[in-house]
Amino acid sequence: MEYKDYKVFKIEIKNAIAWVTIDNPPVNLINMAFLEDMDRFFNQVKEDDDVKVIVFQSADPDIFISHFDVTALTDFPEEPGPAATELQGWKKYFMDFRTLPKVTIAKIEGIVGGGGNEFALSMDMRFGAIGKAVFSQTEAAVGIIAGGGGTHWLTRLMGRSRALEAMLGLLPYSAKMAERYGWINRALPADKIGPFVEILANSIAYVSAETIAIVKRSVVVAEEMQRKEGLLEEGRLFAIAAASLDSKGRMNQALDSGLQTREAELGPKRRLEELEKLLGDIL
Amino acid sequence: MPYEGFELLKIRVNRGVLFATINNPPMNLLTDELYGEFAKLAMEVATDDKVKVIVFDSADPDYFIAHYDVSLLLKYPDKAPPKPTDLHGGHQIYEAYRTMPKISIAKIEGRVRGGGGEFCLSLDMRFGAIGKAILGQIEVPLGIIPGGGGTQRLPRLIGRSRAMEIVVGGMDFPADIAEKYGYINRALPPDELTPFVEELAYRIASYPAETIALAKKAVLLALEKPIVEGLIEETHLFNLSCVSVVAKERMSLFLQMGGQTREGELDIFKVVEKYTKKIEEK
Repeated sequence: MEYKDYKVFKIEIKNAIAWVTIDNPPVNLINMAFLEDMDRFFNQVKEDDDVKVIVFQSADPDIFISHFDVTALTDFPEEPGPAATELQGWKKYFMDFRTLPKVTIAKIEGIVGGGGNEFALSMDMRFGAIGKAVFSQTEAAVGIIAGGGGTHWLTRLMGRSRALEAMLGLLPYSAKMAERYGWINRALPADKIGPFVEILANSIAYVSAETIAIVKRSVVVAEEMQRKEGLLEEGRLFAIAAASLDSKGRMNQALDSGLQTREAELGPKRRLEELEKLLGDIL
Repeated sequence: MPYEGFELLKIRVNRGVLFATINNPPMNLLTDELYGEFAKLAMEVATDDKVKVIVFDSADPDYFIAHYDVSLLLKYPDKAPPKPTDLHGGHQIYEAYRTMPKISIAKIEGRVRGGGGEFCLSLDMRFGAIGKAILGQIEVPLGIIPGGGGTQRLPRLIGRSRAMEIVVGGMDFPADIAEKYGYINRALPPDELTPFVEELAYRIASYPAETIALAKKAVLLALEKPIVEGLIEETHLFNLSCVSVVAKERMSLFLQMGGQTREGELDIFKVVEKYTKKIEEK
């Protein structure tokens, strides 16, 4: 599938990975052009069986995404209107990624705040470059609240106390502090984040599309269902996965090439040593 | 004059922040009198629009709060009362802090165990001094269980396994481990703790009270509602925040004073400080 005529996204597909580079000068704002590209991209990629992993990165060396366009927010009417009953607008775009049966990754090597941070939070994983990535959720400073899912993602990811500190303290968070808080998966040295995300994305792309979809579904189930109901659903998903011909093929292949022999079981240690040669002592 | 008649809390208010220093010698035991003052403070601060943030600290360099008065627990009858249908008095006080539309912070520079730890858990944020702050739940070694919300608040904050370790292990958790577990927000060197907490508290107090209230409400909802329902609620609260006059003023100033320019976005906090000063000057 071809990804053409985007205004602010540059999209390259390589080995089942969609590399989406956000290029919306001068500050990578989330404005109409961004949201239109987002909507188009989501609708195109969800139908694209050749893509298993989506990585968002920025063309701007200093800024990942600054925030939502504030000029669009000052136009709000004076009355709030009735409470919504469905997810709408930009929040819906962000939230659709949550259940998309593909893996989404934000590779953050610059400043990200406000709606940009909420976009990053709606991704499945976030990685930040040490010394370059700066995280914040600063809506309260202008008298509004995070309205793109931030209040929910932050609270669920790092708990009530750290979420309140982030949203009301208006402090900037370095990649290392963001990692300590659980805001991002890992803080990585600036020269290692590229190779790390590339290796990770390619590893994920090795997994079959069906398995990715089932694993992601089971995580969504864990977020949404009660424990017993969720465990029963996990059992159902496991049975579907184990019954698939692709899984049986992969399991037989693994057994044929020595799985469950001492030599083969030491594989993870060899893989770690291999990766440490490439990435240094960061794993 | 507000905040009169407190014996065990030393209270001062400055620039929207109320500082309450716990002073109940010889070791800041959580007595019924101290409980009473926490309740009195929650009631009085609720009607004080000038206060947006409450910071608790201790006058005792070794103890934040020792724990609940065990001699009072020994007075329990031999038979348990019928199962309650409402929150008990202590829970009601703690819940008042958790749900009030103001931000509460514990600045912990000494030991805080048992009921004292549960009080801290009911506050919005906790910060601890490295090498000085020690947290723990010591009920199980005494043959009782945490009854001030600890068993319910800890798993929600840090997960079942770490909560279990704290509750049934009965051990001490120094600030650095407490931070790793998410028991406290951050562990800071002792000389950096007070400047950090004050900076944070004054920053929060510089934002509109209604924004703080909406943001806190949205966070509390995240723990109570299923995800999609919660996101819809967030949208409504967001809309309420966007239509407010204070928000429109701040957002306009943000745009006028360098927000959404390349230069401004690289140091967005400078822009925030500039217009905050302008608003404060008015």
